[in-house]
Amino acid sequence: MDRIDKRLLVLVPAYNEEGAVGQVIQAVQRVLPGTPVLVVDDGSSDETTATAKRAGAEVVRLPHHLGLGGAVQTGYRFAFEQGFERVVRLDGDGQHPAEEIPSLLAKMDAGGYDMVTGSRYLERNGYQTQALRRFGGWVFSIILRPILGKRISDPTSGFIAVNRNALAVFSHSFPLEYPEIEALVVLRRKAMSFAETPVHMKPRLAGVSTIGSWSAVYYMVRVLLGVLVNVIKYEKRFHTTPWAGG
Amino acid sequence: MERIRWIAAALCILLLLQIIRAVRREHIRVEYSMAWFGAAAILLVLSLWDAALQWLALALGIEDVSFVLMLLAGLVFLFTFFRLTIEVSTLKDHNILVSQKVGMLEWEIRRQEEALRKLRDKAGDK
Repeated sequence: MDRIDKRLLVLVPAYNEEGAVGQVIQAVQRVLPGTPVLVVDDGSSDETTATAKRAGAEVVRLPHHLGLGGAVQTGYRFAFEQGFERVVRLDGDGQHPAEEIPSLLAKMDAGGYDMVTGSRYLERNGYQTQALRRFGGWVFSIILRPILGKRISDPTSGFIAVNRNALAVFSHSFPLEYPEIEALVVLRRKAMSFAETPVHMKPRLAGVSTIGSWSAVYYMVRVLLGVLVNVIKYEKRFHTTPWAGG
Repeated sequence: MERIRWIAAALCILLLLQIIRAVRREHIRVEYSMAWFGAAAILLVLSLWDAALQWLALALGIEDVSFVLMLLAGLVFLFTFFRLTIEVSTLKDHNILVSQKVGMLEWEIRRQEEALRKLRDKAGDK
């Protein structure tokens, strides 16, 4: 990683994704040759780490399972400490097409945004999620509109590009569970800018979703509470943990 | 004295014994046992000291002294749970940070080892 341009890091959080993570890394390397890919293995019990290394990625392996937010924040913290200017995050299950990374970065550059999210609903093509999940996303977009000050069509999308300003915020403050929606509120509170760009998502290559139908209700309540807490959050809380002031 | 207060006193003594046992075996750290010791001791004193409980009931405007005891027990344990929830949340924050740092440090160590191995290989070639 020493010789490589440190402007962009591709971050792939992965938990038991041995069946897909290798193809995700290869796809990134085809689209952006020479760009470092960091896989954060969130304490997988399968061969995710070995598969990612074989495919040419750098791997940070967490000693135990932290959850998606903890894994993503590890990547953001890593990127911030290593001096990267921008990070594109895509899931390790293959749903986020590496070919669309340049369009996220182009949108970020064109608008000077701190964060750009790939939306599967801005243009209704490509793989669409289950009706229940689409409904949940619609409910959240309605609730978030007055909080964020604009409509976000796909608030649960994890296909995200962030710049160094957003990295500075997220490396210190990032939700642990279901982080995408709360992350938007965190950015809004920090008066940072964000936008969406249409992407064509794919079905997952392997594994199962972290949000099953039974946990959908918990997900809704948990995220709504998280959003509310973020709206009223006491700012000093972010800086209470030791070593957090990097 | 009412039966409920004898039961409360017996439960407090049991709780105190259980806390002492847990502290002796290092299942609870001393600093976290203090809230439990305090709660159990206060409730034990009030359940046995009739005049204090009567005075408290009068001050609070509650006729049933047993209800005062139960109310106090509920409030004391609610406060203790709340305090421990804050502790657990803080510990979780620290745990996340330590896990992330461990992961990144292991990456750094691997990188240094790899660099060292390459240097050794180069030196071996010469």
